[in-house]
Amino acid sequence: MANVIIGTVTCKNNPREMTLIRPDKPSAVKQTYSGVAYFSWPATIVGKELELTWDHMAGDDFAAIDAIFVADEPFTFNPNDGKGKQFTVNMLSLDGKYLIGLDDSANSTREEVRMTLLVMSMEDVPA
Amino acid sequence: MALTLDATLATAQNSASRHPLVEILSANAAPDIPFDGTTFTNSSENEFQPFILNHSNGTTILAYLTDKVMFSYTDAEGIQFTTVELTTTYNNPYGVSFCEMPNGNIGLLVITAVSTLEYFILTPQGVQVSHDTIATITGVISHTWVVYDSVGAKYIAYYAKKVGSAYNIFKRTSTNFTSWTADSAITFTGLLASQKISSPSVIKMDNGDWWMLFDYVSTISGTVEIANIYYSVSSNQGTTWGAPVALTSNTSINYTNLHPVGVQLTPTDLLVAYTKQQAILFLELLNSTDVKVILNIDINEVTGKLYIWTKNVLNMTGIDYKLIEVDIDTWTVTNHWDKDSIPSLNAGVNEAVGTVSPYMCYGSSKYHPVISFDIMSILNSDTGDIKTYCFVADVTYGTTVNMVYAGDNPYVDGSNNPRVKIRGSKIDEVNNRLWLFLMTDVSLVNYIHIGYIDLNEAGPTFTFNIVIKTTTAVEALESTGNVIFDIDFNEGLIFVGGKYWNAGYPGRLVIYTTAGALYQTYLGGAATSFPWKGISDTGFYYELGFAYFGFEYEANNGNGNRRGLCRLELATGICTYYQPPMISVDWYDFVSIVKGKGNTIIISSGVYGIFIFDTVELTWELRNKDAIPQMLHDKIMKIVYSPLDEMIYGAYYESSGSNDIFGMPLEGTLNTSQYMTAVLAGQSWPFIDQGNLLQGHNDYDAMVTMNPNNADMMVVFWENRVGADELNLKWDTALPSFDLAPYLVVDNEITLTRDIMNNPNSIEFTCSHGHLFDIHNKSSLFSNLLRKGRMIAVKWGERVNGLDYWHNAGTFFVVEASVSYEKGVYSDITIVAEDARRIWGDKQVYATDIYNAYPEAVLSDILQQTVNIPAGSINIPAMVNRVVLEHQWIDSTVEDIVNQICDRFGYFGKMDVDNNFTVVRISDKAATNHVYSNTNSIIKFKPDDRYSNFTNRVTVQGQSRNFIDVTYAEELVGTISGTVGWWGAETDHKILYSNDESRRCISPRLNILETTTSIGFSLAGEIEEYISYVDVNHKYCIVRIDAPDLTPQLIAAIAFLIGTLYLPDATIGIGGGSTIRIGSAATGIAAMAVMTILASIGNYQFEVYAQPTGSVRQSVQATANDTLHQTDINNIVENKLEDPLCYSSTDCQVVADFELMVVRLQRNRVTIEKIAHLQDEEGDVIEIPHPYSGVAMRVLIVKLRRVYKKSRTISNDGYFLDIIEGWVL
Repeated sequence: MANVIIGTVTCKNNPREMTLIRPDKPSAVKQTYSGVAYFSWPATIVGKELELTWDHMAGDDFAAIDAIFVADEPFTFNPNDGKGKQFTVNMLSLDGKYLIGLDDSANSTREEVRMTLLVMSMEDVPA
Repeated sequence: MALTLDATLATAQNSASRHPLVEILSANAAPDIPFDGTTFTNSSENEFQPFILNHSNGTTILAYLTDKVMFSYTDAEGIQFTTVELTTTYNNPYGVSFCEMPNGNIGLLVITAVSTLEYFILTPQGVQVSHDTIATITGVISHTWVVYDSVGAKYIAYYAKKVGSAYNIFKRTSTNFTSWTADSAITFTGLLASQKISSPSVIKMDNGDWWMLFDYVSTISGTVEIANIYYSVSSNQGTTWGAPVALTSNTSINYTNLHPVGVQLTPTDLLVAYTKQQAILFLELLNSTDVKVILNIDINEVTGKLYIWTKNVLNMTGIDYKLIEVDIDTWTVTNHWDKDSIPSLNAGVNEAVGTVSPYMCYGSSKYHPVISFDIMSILNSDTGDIKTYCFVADVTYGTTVNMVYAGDNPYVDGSNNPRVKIRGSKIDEVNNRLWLFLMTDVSLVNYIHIGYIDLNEAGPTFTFNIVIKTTTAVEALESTGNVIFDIDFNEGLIFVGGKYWNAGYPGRLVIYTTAGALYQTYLGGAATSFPWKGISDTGFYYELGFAYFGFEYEANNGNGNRRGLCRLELATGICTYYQPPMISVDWYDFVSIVKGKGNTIIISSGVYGIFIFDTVELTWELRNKDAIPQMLHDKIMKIVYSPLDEMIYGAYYESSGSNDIFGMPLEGTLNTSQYMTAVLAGQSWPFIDQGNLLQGHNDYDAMVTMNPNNADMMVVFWENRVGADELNLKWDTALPSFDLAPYLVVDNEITLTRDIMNNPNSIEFTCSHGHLFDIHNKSSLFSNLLRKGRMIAVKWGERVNGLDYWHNAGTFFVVEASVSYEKGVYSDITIVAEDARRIWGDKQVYATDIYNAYPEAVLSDILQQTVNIPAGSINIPAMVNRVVLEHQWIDSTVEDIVNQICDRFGYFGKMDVDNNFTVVRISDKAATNHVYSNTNSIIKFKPDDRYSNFTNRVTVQGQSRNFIDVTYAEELVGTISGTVGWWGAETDHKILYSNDESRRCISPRLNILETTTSIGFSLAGEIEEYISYVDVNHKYCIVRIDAPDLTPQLIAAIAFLIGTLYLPDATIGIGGGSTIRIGSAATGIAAMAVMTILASIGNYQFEVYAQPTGSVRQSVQATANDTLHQTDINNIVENKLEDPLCYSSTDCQVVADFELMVVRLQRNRVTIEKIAHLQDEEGDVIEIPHPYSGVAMRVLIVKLRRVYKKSRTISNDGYFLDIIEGWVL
């Protein structure tokens, strides 16, 4: 599996954990007096939140992704999971920790990086 | 009646597993085109020349000009614009265009006022990459258009240029947008360089062809250049161009076609927009063989409507007065009134001949008079109401007098001789008074009455409050010719003037105050500066101490040098004369004078056109067909001026016919945007003219594109001119329907409510992107999609085996759209929409027809007449227990009328799911529509009698159809008092039972309060008082006072007194002698008799009593009892109702039974919550098992609230439910 691409940033490391990218199916149940009603709506991936976590992320990758977070514009996320799909997403959150002692420069490695993406739409990855 | 669903959809309703769907579409209630639009910004700067293009990144980019270049681009969704400013090197840009460069940047060209061509290279977000001047061009250039040639990898800039007297379209090219070649002319086969060619624009067609559109002066008529729209096709990216093809072929000097632009909407659809420029508008509807004379024009500036009083003079079979309403923006007739319209003009006004001097009949912004002789119908255009004031009865048209003419009235004697004429009117809108100027014209002797009618009076009779009344002939006013009448309400002055019929006598102007006092009189003559013939033209205008008017030339009487316009200064009484220098004649025939812009007055001449006179600078301007060939006519009649759009509207008159209404801008030209479309047919594009693209005649130069993210959304920007000085950028969108599905918020319910209580059906839902739908966000293309009044079409559905099945759920109109902004909180927009009946509640009907028909026909007619429901959308079954309704509704809303009829017959009205109006009977005997055999769908059940009360008897009262005669108790109808004396008298007093002689009374009786019983009368036989005559029509009686004449007795007594003077006293000689006063005694007796007779004077006072009589409808009533409930509570609680649609006790019984059924069923009310079933609707009877006992219950659905909530994936909290309030039957 090739590395994920976040906007224009191809991460040097893939996330350790990533939400499985598949549609969710909204559904509900209503108990009636003598039965039950089940409601469901077509499954969709639009609106799904994807959480990605890295144990460690290169400092320049984090800086580039942080710039996307600050720009606060929709961007393309390619999970490179072999399904041939990429997603227009918004970044809801990005957080991490300094790797104290190893490197404390501005672009030092970050650890325990967590990012949440909101899927706005899904497209085919261009050939 | 239950809805009939598609079989698959119906089956799915009974499934325990549901996949519900909802569709909500927003659409315009009226056609999108022609666009009305809204301004793009609130800027006070002039904005003009929009240029719009879709970028390949999905955004739309707009450029327009102020004193800078404004560059706007949308967000990624193509909705919200952001604007940046670009500053050119040279000032005053007046042409702009741009194209997308291969790298996504924007290459933008600007023409400036000094003929420089500048370029900008920008990012799609307007960040300037580079900017420089390309060239300063020799000649006059305009209208640039730049395109990118992807085949030749170059940019081509086109523009129009005039060098010397030669016109051409030029081009220059560049490979990098910074270095450009010199320009070269493009030649088009068959076009002359001596005739102007301009406004090039290019369409890059899907098949690779380029189309160049341009305007070209194809005809020159005198000094008028007539341009038409042409296109030329290039198959080699503009290297060579084919022979031009004309898209328009106008040869009329009335207009010229300019500034074409085109857009290929789809591979097979093409749209071309262009500007139709006119110097003057003609309302060509009137300019037909059905020739009209225009008598008066008013303007309602608030609504932008003209009101035109016309008369058909050729159709003498019935002279056809009509009042016509014209929308200024669309320049179309939008309404008209005549004797057959609703409301209607009086038949006499509509058809009678004899209106005199209508130019003095001023209307106002909302009141518009139509007059004939002595009748006035007046339209209130704010309310749509027409009132008629009639001074003289007219048998021909069945017109009866309805004016109470206060005081002595020589005119209203029923003989029409002398006959009053309404010669002028003026509206005091502040006090809501109609002032009238009345004259008689018998034997050239004119009496005038000036007074007012209170327009608030409801009638049926109205009072004419006389303020000024002349009792001698007003010699100055010619009976059949022109008189002038005007009132200045600010200064309280009334102006009446005219000329004398005999030229040997002077004319005059008389000024009164509105309080009735004579203010001043001016008489023509050699010794005065006032013109000899007085005010002989109808044009008159007064403001701030100065009166302006025209007059006939008089060579003699010291008036030989007086020509033109007379200005009378009231303070000094001095007249000054101003003659238009451009035309030197004796008499100008000034027909109409109105206030113009600033210090000007605008004067129409019946011979020479329109003059504009500056009352401060004392300068003249003339508009005639020599100066403006498009005017066509110089015989101008009544005019009005609209300061709002700075337009002069007026009428012209030709004795040969061809009369019409025109509109003329005070400055500049009129520009309307037109469009034509073509659908590809084989290899050709046959164009069809589609008419106006934009509303208004100051909206033009439209640029059209399709929204890159919604192929159905047409986006249009254009230039809008306000007056002579203000230019705005306006925009609008056209979208057949806009699907709100992507914006519906799942956290909020979609609730659709329908009931049988005659409330409008309603739907409430919430959308995301509230900031884009906010009507105040002028930069959002979505801002008009959920505005108030927007139509909302709703469908429910179900997905079954992967296929979607739908059923209509109703059509609604947005009534509330609420959005709020708060930092940190997302702005949703909540929409409440209701069906068409919501508008019916606001729709006032002033008077319906007088109906005599079944309720279905009455309902259908009212809905078609008042709220424009098409007959095909009305489906009313024959009502049970129907009777013929004899009724007219006055001052009611449509909603009230419909509800009253439905209630009368026990029905409720509804807009069904297909947006058709129908009625459904409410009955506890109704058949069951839907049986639920188990409680599998039931979620909640609750008895709910909170709306009920203890009423157990209903009494309904109505009135019979026929009248019966009734006599009321005796009452005082009149009093008489007076004095009688020795001279005697036989006096008749006419006692009217009412002032307007409308009341009838019988059995009049005299009650004597005071009488004279002097000795003299006693001797002569006493006074007699008695009712000598009773009117056979019972409208008055005559009381006679008959006192004896004591004159003979007085003469005899005086004679006796005189005789006694000759009777001496007797003397006898006893002692010194004594006198026996025989003569004196006789004299004393005679004097006493004379004095007794002379003292026979006394007062009398009587009252007259009578019994009023009349005709009334007989009351009918019926009662319905719930005896069981009366026994239950050991009490009778009665509710009395009146229903004017009940004509018999049988009718009343039907209503009473129905109302009792309703109050009884309200005590059986329940609330049921169940899984939604699309078959059920309000008014249905469903059968469900009682949730505890299992016993079946029949429930009539009174209110159905259908709620839909889609689950969030994480909370699983969705549902699709019916919440029913119903009556257990």
